[in-house]
Amino acid sequence: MTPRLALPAGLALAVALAAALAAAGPASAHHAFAAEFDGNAPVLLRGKVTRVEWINPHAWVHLVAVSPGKPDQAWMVEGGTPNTLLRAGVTKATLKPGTIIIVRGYQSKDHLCTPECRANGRDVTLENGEKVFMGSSGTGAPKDGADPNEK
Amino acid sequence: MSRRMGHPIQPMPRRVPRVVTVVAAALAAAACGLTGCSRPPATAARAPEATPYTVRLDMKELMGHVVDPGAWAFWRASGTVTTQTGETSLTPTTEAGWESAESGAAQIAEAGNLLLLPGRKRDDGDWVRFATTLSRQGLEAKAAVEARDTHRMFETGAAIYQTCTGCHARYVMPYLPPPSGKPTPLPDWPKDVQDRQSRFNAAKGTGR
Repeated sequence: MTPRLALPAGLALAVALAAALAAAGPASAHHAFAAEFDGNAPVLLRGKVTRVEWINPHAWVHLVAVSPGKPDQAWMVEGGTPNTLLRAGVTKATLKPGTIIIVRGYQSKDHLCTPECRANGRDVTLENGEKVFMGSSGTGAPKDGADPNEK
Repeated sequence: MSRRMGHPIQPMPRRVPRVVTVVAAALAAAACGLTGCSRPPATAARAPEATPYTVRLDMKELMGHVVDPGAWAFWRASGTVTTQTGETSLTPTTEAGWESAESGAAQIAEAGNLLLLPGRKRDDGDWVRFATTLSRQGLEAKAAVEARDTHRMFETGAAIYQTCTGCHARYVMPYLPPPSGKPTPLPDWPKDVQDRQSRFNAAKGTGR
């Protein structure tokens, strides 16, 4: 039997996969960008790092974002694999709790902030002024110029 | 029996007790199991029987019930969480924890084979490459767990994710519906951040 990859089948697979993955929480996020994040909800967060999860398949950076005239807000920002971040120059030393970072990315599609707002991180500026791509390539994230591997 | 096992067994002398015959046959069968009985059967001309496998689980179910749980069981067993109060390792602390990680790795290894079954295999090129890579990495992951090598577990976990992402980029992303409208661009960096970036780049450029 010669299997076929008909477009509708592939489309159905992708939609089903996206739907299934969208139902998963952040702790089990392993997904296409569009399944969980809103390409029309960009965010810029500036704040102090409170917690960093150096875990596969995605590192998670938690911070309390401060914004003039607004109450402080806790965010958790998804990054690429820890190895990707390390190769890009982000280490446990440069991203330790207490350091202030500025992150750009896209908020989760549900826009929920309980207990924390969630975002997909695209790039981050560290305290020393170094700007680093912090996302994953090949997930279907918007072509926003943040990913140096973007084709 | 001799035909099924693939090579004839000489008839035993009539005086040999029946129990010995049974034991001898069992030993022969065991030896056959060890060696694989590679000799072709006498009736090799017979058409091979179809293997009664099933691929009734679609790709979503295979991913959701087999691949993902296996990957997560393995991924969760390495890494660290850093907070203001210190660092916590996610390395298993119990035999049950190690067993779960090893089972997850074994699931990944076998999942690669499941992706190659006719009816699931999409082509003979990249699909096979991704699937066999997944199997190999699953075996590497299992070996790392058996060796209690958390560094290798972490590295292999990252490699497995790269394989997943590469496969999805090839076989899922092109078939996703295009986003409606153009995504909203990322905000510009604030002026003070741009200045900081410029200073960093200038320092890097001059080797300071």
